[in-house]
Amino acid sequence: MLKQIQLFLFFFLLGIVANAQQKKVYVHGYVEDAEKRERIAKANVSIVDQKMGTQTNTYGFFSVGLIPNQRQTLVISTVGFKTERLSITLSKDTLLTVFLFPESQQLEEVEVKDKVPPHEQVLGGFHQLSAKTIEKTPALLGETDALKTLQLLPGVQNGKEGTVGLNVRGGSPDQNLILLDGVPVYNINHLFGFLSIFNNDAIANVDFYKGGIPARYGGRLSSVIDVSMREGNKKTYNTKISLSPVASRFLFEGPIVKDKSSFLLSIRRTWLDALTTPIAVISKSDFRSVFKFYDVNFKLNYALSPKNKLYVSYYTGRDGLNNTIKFNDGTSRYNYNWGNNTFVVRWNHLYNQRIFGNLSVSYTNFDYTLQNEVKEVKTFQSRFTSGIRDWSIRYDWDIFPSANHTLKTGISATAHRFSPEIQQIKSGQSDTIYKPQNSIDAVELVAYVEDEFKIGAKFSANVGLNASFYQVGQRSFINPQPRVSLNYALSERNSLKFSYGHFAQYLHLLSNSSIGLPTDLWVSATERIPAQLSNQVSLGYYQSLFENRFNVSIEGFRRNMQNVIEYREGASFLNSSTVGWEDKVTVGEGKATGIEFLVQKNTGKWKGWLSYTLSKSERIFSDLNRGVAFPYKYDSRHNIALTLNYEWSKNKTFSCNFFYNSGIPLQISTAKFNGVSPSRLVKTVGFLGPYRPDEYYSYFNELGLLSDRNTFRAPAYHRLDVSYRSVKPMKNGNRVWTLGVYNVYSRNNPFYLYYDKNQLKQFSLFPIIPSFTYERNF
Amino acid sequence: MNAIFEMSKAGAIIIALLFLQGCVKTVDLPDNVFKKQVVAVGTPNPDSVLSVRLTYSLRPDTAAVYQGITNAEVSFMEDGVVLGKVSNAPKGVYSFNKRPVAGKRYAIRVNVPGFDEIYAEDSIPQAPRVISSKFASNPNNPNSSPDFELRITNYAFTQTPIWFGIYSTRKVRGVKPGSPTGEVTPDIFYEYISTANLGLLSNSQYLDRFNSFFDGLSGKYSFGDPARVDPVSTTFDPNPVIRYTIVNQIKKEDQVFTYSFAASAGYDRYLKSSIMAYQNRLLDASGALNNPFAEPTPVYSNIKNGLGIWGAYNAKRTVLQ
Repeated sequence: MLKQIQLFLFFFLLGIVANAQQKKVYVHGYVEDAEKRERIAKANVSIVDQKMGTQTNTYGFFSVGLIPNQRQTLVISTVGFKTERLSITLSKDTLLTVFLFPESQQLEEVEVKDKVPPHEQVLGGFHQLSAKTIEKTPALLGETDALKTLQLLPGVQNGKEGTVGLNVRGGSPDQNLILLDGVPVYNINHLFGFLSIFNNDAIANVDFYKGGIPARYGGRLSSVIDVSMREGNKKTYNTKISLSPVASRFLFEGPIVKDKSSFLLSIRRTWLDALTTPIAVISKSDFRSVFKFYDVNFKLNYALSPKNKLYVSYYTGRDGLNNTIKFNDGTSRYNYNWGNNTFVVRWNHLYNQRIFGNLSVSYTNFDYTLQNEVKEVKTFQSRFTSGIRDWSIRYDWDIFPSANHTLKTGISATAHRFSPEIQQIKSGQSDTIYKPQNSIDAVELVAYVEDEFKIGAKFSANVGLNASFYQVGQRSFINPQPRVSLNYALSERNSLKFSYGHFAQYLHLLSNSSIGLPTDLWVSATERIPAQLSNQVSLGYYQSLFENRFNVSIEGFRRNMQNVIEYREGASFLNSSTVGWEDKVTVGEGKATGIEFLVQKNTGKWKGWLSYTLSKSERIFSDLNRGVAFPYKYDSRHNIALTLNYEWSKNKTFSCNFFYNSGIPLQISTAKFNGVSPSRLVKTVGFLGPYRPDEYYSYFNELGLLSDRNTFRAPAYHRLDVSYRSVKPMKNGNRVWTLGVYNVYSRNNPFYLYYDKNQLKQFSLFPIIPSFTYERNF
Repeated sequence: MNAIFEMSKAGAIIIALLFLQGCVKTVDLPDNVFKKQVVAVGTPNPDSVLSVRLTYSLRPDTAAVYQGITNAEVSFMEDGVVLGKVSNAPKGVYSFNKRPVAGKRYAIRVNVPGFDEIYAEDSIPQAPRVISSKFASNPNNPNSSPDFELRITNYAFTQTPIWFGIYSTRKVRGVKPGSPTGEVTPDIFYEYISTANLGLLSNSQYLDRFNSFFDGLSGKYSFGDPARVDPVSTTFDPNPVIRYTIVNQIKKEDQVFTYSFAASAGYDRYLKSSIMAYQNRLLDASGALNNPFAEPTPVYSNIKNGLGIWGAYNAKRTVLQ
């Protein structure tokens, strides 16, 4: 760790030395969408004459230094907007708002050289997806999804078929920091994970970090998925209504004070229950199952003054499954429901042309409840709940000491409350409140500093330190986490990138399944189960070809993880309810190595990318697999993803995706053998009479010999999806039809493998599924 | 009703809903996955002579039946001294006319042509000191069943986990069907003694609840057969008293008894792991989903170079009046 800190100090001081610049004047301000007046994050602002530049921050703010009294050209660009060139001469610091116009002519050859190609970005393994990119990606049941689009990127593996679970560079799903307007979201699943909670109507863009993760992010080991909600149109009121096979969506946005403040409200709700409930009533079935989900995104921004702006973001969403079974003398009801709430108030304050501040106060929670009620002669009720909630306060400063130098620093304090397992049982005979685990409170304090700078024309870096303190009970953890990202430009078209990061995670996720069932338990690091730690290094080569029309990259990574957890052999969420979670898990280590290839085509009628990842991910636990290392459950050696988008006219788009993942590892029985029945007295009578062998007693006649952990490989997964999108301008707004086909050639991909009647069988979930989506906005 | 069990059922319903959409196909198990091994199963105890059954393991995707290994040579040992050798047992069951004694270590050394030598050993624990009692009927119990009590005296004496169950025996009339017309071979009626587990219900803190579920209607935990006394819970009380009742109805003609046994550490581990494997199976015997959340559960074996279990125990049967 000492070496890591020394390395950090070296690069940090290097950045400070590099800051010795001549006196300048500063142009600072915001970049906004000219049509909607929404601020644009991560827009590139460069000074052509000085070959320098910066990017807007999350709130669209930038600040660059210019040589006084000299005509200079400022170029502002970002994906999806026309590039703006400003020729300016300044004698003093100036506040400026730059408006970018959306690329309305989609076939137009834009000046791609003005975009920031990947080889010029400091951070390796960084991707930004816009809402437009996401909406053009073919999707299951027509519901476009940000997280499923991320699954097309190199180094990202999906979990089970059709689900939104992400395994990044050999990590587990809980190791991804998923933020919605800066607030962590603990459960991303709708509809058992087949949809994510992110409604694309409300999303502005998604920033995805998996290599060089800047110091401002902390608390997770593998990646950061930073989802920004749209601000809402500041000019006009817009309404959008959408209908897909599973849900309907409604969006309403508009100005509060024209050109200054706005709001956005987006609601999504499934209508599956509206279909299934009448069917059950008409059929007079004894079994009724009703599933529903909804989510609401609300955002409000209000300009208090030119230097102060207030943002309020709120998300709430919930899923619920109700099953009712009628039997002779009574009824049995099950209710599962789970959901998240996030709420954040942010106050932007511009101190001066070089210092931008943001205060955030946020709340997030995830909880689920499983309820069971049986009404017979007697009544029985049980209720099982679990949850996590955080209150957090955070202050961030963006400091722009020079055009080549961007400093970010901040502090935060978070109060976590974990309620991992609370069960209440009430029956005719007894009233029991049973709490295997009391709620656990923890405090997490974080301070970070991060410096992005350039030295000369070839070398740029992002160097930072994230220091965290975590207190739970009598146990405390302190983890300084240095982060270094370096970019060395070999020429104007190619560069080498290196990243190193140390990461600490104080949360663990207990999950038996990756299919998004509402049974995930978030638990805190404790005396017995320490914080997860990780080190990652990556080295990449980035090249742009044909005037930036193509970007190619190859990046290798290696990461090791300490204190990762797995369920002990035989443990289950459903069994041994009297055993605390710490006794159900075991602590071990993990390592992952891989190499990622990416080819992107950014312009022309055909756009898209092809990614290939060759990787290996292992875990080792002294209590599992006799202490021998075994493949991680989503270790897939080869992953190929292709996404193509063909725009054959202004309003007609054809898209397709193709995935290939080599088989994931499984542990299955490789032999069966005679055992001994636990009961020494009760015998099965089999053929002798009308009695069937009792399942329990006969089970032990045929025990399974499990293979070494995860040594068997499931068949490969591959799939092709296509979609066609047609936009028709109307008198007022436009109408959009999207027709899609999921799994075009109806591949039977493995979802589960199991033995049944002396045969190994594979269950496949989704055959070919056509879908449509209708949208109307006005 | 069982909350956890019902959650499992509801979980199964969720998956079942998903399954409605999907399809199933048979997958070939690669030939190199299966390795034929010798399976040795024996439970040395003072109530029977030393015996081990030898079979071969089978591919998991075959319907073939287990065949006893008839050409093996088995050496039985007591505290490291060879008692004798037995070879070529016709049905694969190799027995030596010696009843094990508590406190002694018994081992087997098995040689099967074409396989590595198999070895296993285990020590016979002391018999449990238990007193079983039956009390008057209790209208609060299912079927107004009586309350029962198992009193363990000096638990530390056995130094091994104790398992127990409550059973009844009764005469049952069976029929072996003849031909459909009854003319060629008529139905054969016969009587035999059937032993049934009575289903143990208890909230005793001394019982290990790993194979139990909470029965909401009785307000007690319902245990599988047999129940395990949790050695950890007896650390502070070496003379635990376990109170319980039963699920099933007792008839007048039934003989009710408890069967308690002290299991060696290895046998205890085998029993617990095999029962957990049963609980964690993905599908039940009818092919319906049982537990979608379970982790793979290997069954413990103490057989070196083979499979199975050589697990020692010492039992006590107590008839309840």
